[in-house]
Amino acid sequence: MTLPAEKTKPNQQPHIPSRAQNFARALQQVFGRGFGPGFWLCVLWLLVVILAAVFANWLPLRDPLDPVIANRLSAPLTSNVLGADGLGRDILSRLVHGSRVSVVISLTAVSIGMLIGGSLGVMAGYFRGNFERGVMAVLDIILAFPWLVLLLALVTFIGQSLFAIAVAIGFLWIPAYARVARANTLAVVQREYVLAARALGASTQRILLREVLPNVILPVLAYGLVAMGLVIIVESALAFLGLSVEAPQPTWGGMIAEGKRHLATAVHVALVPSITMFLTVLSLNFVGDRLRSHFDVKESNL
Amino acid sequence: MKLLLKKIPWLIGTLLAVSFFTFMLVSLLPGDPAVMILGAGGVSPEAVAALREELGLDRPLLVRYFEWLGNALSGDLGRSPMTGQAVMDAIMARLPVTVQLGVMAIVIALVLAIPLAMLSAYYAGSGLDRVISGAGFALMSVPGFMMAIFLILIFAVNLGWFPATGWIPVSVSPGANLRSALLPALSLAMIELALYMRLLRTDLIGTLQQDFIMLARAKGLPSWRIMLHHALKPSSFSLLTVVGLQLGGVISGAIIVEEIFALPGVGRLLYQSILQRDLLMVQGIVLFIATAYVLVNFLVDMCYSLLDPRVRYSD
Amino acid sequence: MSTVIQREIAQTDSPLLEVRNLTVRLKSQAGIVHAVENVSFSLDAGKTLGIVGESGSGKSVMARALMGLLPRLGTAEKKGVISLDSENIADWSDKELRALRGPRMAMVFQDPMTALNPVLRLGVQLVEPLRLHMGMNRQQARQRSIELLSAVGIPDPQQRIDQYPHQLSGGMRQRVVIAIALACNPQLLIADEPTTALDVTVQKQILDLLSSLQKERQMGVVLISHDLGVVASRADNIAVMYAGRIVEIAPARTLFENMLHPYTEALFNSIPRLRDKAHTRLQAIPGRPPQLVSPAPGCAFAARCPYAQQKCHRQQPPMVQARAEGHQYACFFPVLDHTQGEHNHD
Repeated sequence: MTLPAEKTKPNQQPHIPSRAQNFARALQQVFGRGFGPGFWLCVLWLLVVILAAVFANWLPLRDPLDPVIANRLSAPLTSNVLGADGLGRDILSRLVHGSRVSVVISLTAVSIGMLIGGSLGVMAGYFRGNFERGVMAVLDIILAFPWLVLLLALVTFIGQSLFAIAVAIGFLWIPAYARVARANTLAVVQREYVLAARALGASTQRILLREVLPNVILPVLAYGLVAMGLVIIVESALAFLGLSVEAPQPTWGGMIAEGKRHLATAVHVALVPSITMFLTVLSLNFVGDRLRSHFDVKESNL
Repeated sequence: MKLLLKKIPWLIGTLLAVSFFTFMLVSLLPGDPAVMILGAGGVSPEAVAALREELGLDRPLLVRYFEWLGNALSGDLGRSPMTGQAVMDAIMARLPVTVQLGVMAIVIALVLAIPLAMLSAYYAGSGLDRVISGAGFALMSVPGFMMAIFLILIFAVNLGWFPATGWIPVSVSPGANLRSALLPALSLAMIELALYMRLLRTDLIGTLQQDFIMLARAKGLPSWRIMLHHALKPSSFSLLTVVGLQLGGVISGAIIVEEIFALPGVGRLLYQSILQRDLLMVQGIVLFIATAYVLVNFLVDMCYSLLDPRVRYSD
Repeated sequence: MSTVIQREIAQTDSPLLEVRNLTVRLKSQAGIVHAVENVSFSLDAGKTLGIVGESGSGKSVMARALMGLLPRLGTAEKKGVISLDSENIADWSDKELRALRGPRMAMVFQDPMTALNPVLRLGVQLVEPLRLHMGMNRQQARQRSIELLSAVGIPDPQQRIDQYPHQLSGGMRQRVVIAIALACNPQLLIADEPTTALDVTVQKQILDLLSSLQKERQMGVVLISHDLGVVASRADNIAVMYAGRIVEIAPARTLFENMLHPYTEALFNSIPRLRDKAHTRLQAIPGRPPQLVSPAPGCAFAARCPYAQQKCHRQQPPMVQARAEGHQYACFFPVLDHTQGEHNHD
């Protein structure tokens, strides 16, 4: 996962000419003062999670699916580093393998939401008229359902593979991104430079690509990290209900669900995955929020 | 009032689309309901066909939709082929539980969020503000089910003050009812609390920077009065909007919380019906919930225009 | 919760308001802003002091400082003496100042569109200070509010009192703001750009209203504006501010006949006149107001001053007395009589 700083489009700063200078400035802002140790700790944690997800199979961990009855419910730092669950399976390795699900689904779902929702929003904001009305109407209908209700229905329909879940959750995110994209597009389209481009006879495609898109991308991307945190929450809620990726694939939500059964006797079974998930979502929220308020010109002028 | 009339076609349109979407989705689910009812394996095709005809599954989709919709409008959502119970009756029996849960959650969240947000906004930037905002931020990262488990762990398992599962209706004992409802309501309330607090704080800070607040100070009014009377009122409108928007989240959370605490609510019914593939029940519940959600949002919208004087008196 | 402050009738020559060496520094993202630097002036009851300056000259910050309304968390420093009726209120706590705001000093704000709370009825906003400071009950306060609305020239006050701000025009809203300010009969009224946001025709009405109310109540008025014309005919004394300092202060007549500071001259020259011929070029002041974060040494106006010398860029000119009484200025090379056409060289 590249740091969002590298994705920043330099044309946001009005008074600085060259792109290279802008880029250097952005980098300097990120690595210079302004982002405290808390920020970097969160980034570090996120990197750990991602690396764990990517390299899960190569890490020296026990088999996440192997039940060792002798170790049943053993506390952390006894037989297993983070303890074992109700079937004696190693919690640490289950966490690591479970992170794959969380990372993949959050990235995929957010990407789907961004791409589809973002494009719909930009087009709706640019072309207006009946197209916009139609898009907004469809979005309103999707939003008329409480998210879990919709998700449950979708999941029952599409199935419970990794991809299916990612698509279903991504579908939920389309309205949110469409709205953000549309709002920003509307704001941009009314500004003079778009009118100027039009007056010069620039084609629609050109305007969209060179004027509208760069200005809309940043708010949309900034929302991405926070959205990923929300997706992880949604997915684990599904997993908790047994409706996410099916067993035996470990998922954080599933682990917590299992842990609930042993709350009285072995707290760590629920607590360890809970803390892991909490730290991950918190880091995503924190980093995403900080980046958003730093690069969003309006907010930082408060 | 004109505003209301203009929005009604939109409302009806949305409700119709919602019902259509619901029906289509459930009807397109894989699996033959008749087979599911009779049980797969070793069932004769004739029996399946007979059941299909009896259930009306052999007629075209659109016809079935309109028939279903017509029935729904008169309050008949069908009868579950699995449990034999009328869908509407099942929903109505469980509705009070869910409603109580939701209302309690929102009330708790508001009662805590409003004073905390006011404190936070008044002392914006200070240590106190950072602590409160930080706590709110952390709360936002905790999903409902995690909060529920955490609360159960502390208050039910360790302290034993509240039951971990079960629901006692008000008619039996109001005290016991509250006891059984508190942990679930708190689980739901915590996320709402974080969201309301965050939004209200931002809105209040913005409001406090306005000129009319300075004028209020120039009049020599004490800070508490300025905060309560002058700042809270304009900011409360956006809070109201958020409460309305968040209802979907509350309902979604309720499904999970009801399942965790084994509460006999509509959410739990929905979840279990999905697990059992009781499609007619699922259809009915989804329609009911979605319709209620749209209507309540509409009402909140109307309230907003009635309460905000800037909207009410504009020509 | 209401105390009635008895007004002391000042029999002596002591001024109603006396400000000495007022300095205000504010915190901002860019650093510490020297918003007001060493400002001193005095105001007698029944008189008007006009304060003129460009935006960013510190006039509004100073007005707020007088009332003790500086941002709570954003103020880095506030020094100096603010003497109201011979009492130094500069260091008073907010709580103590609250008792003064309304009964003894009041403020009229610039933008009537935003100065009134949009979600509260006008009556409520008027009644508040009356009940708080004057101890009136609801009936009395309502009655008094209606009287106040009449006094500021709002027709049909019985009906208006129950309306919301957005139902009134800009001029009327400003009248309501004035009514609120005068509700508790203050001795001192600070009017911060009271007419800037209004149409020209309404401007005159509001200024006339302020003048007549002032005469009636013998209030001391500080009239702040960026528009020299607004202040010209209505102020007894005028102070010109630039970059947080007063650069010249004089009785109105003296200022116009004998202005000494180059900035005052530039301001004066920039006003277009009816008797100018058509197509006469507007005389703008070249350059921009200085940033106030790390002020350069020397006179702040030096960068834009047509008469500036080396010395001006290096030393801060002190406030010195001119020939006429009450006339002071801060310049090493003041503008002299135009017929001579010469300037002092050092």
